[in-house]
Amino acid sequence: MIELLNLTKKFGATTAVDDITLTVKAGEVFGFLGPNGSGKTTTIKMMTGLYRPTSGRVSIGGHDLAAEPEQAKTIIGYIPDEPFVYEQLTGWEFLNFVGAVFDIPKPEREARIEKLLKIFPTMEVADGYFGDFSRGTKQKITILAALLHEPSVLIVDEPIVGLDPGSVRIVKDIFRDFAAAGGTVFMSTHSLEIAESICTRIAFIDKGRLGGEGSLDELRQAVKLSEGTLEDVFMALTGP
Amino acid sequence: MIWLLLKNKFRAARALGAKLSTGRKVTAVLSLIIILGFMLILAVGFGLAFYLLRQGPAGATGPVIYLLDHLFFLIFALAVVSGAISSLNSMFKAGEIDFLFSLPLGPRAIFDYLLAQNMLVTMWPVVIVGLPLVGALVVVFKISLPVGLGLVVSLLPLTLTAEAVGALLAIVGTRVFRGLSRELTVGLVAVLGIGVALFLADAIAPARLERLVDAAAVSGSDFIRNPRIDQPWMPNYWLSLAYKSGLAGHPAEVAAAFGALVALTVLVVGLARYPGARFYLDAWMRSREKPRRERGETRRPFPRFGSGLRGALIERDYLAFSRSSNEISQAFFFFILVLILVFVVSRYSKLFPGAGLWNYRAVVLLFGVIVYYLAMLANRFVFPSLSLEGRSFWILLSSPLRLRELLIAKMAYSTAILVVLGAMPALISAYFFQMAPLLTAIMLLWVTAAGVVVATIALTGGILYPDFSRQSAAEVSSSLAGLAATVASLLYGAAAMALFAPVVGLFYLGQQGSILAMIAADLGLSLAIFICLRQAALKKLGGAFLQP
Repeated sequence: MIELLNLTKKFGATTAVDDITLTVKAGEVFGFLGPNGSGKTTTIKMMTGLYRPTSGRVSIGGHDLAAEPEQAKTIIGYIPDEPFVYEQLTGWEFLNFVGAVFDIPKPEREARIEKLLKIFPTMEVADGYFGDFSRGTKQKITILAALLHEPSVLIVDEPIVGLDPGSVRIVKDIFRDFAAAGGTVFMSTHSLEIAESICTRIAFIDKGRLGGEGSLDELRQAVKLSEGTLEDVFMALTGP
Repeated sequence: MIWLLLKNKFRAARALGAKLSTGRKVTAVLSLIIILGFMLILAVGFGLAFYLLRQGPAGATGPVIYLLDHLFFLIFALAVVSGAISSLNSMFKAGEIDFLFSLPLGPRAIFDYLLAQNMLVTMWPVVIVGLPLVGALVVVFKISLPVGLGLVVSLLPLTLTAEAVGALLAIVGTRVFRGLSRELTVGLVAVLGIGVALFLADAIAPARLERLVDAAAVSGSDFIRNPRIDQPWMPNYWLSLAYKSGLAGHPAEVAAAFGALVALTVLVVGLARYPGARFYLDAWMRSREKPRRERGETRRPFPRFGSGLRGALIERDYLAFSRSSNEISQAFFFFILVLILVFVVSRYSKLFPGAGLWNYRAVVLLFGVIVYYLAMLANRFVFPSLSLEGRSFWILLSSPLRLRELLIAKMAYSTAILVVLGAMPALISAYFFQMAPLLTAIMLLWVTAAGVVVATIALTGGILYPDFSRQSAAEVSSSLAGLAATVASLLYGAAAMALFAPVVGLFYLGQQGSILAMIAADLGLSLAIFICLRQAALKKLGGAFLQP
């Protein structure tokens, strides 16, 4: 479970995230939508310990991220918006490295990696260097790395950029299955189609502030649309 | 267009400086450290050069010219190797190359721009080395100031020529071998470096030296000409001639030799530039067509060294280092440089009377050289190590890893590598200078302490002032903070040298009982610096990185 309480982040005089309070329960796939520069990635970076909040707090699985960072991070799987990893390492070595950082014993780590590499059909590139990979392949290995330590919370920033349609389908299934197994998925995306198809709840952020939160039906009611797509809701909430 | 690109480079450097400078006080302190450090380096360099020049028989310029002759050859030969390595990086691996080739610019313009950029970077260290040397020559041989300035300026064409030849070597090598692999690059650097060492060994063999000295005596000349390294087609020949004329007090001859040197430089740069620019695009394309690693290669256990978290951190950095042809060849180049220096200095003892005393003095100087070498290594490889986590730092920051583990791992292997790399030239020096076992052991103790302190200074400097926006270690290490850390290491080196000199002196005088106090002083100083900086690094790693 994820709890954000009055979360605020300021960069000098600019307020990137302004007093956000949210709760995401186990079993949910939570969509976090908003225009460019609205504060999505900043929020996610505060949730994963990459930025320190100016005020407010983040709790992951009951652990305060500021007070118990190690315990909180142990149960987080993070997929960043840009899959920057070590160019000179092979996919296999990178996954092993991440496993070691999460303190997974060697034999178990290798067994899990073999299992994970079967998720995407073209993962023979695990033996190639990261520097030679396409963006999509890097993204796939980053997704596998986030799953390696079997987290209970997935925090995802733009998960499908660079992926082919077949891989997008696989990623959607991964998130659905993860939530169905009792996990929590917090996902920021610009793909309204993805959000509409897999998110059980959605929140909109604009200029750092939450603009609406709920299921698609609840959001439609909030903007007084009897019917319409998520795109219509998005435009109504964030448009001029 | 070339000027526009270079101007953008300066602007970017200025913007980076402004970004690094978190406040006026920080900038002022860093600037002060750098200025004082450079002044100290210049002063120490001047003092050493002055001291060495005064050792020769009064008024005799022959041995001095002989020394300078070899020094210039050495600078030229090593600058070619260094130029080839830096060209491999800037012309084939730098992030901006893709962008440059996407612009409506011909390969010639891009080549010219990169060559000009490399030359600018190479010029300043040569001037820094040359200033104290020429200063000492001006004082000892009473050369006029304008001639002295001319001698400083005449060092520049030597490096420009070497840089152009190095760039050409990099391009031809890349074109011929379809992108230089790590093994091939290291192999080429080794062959070139060892080739220079062997050539020099042959050129300054004692028997040859005796023949040259005799020949000079017979001809009545005080200029001991060594045909192995004194050929008119080599720029070091004209530079030597300019210095010889300067020492003899003939400004017109200095100007003539300088003119010839400039003409030769224009010719060599022009000749290297034509095929260089012509083959650059093709070589760059080939370097990108290297066969990729194929499936089915053996998956080695990870980590191989040690186990658990620290083992994984060390293995990751080891793989990143060992798979970078640029990094490994740079390290190898540094090592060859010191080996050659130790070798040459040991041979020069033949030139001076009282070789026994000279050897003791040289041991102290060589300790300074080893610390300088360690400081350069630490600047290039240890200082950038945290910054190079760069955009991949999210992996560690979002994991349950405590950053102090990262510090401990980096500290452990940086220190171990620096100590080993420092101990090797120390042992080789001991062999060449026939040092007593006890003095060798003391020098190793000093070098070990220096390895620990220099690694700590570089690592802490990199932690206090990281630059995560850069992907090139060379760019990070040449930042303001990198420079300040290096100067701090050199200041420590000067202090350690000042403590080492009396030990060697007491050893020479046979008063070995008094050296324990100096050992305690050196260890105390080193330990104090280590503890203070380690605490500062741990404090910074306590959470400030979470703030963007």
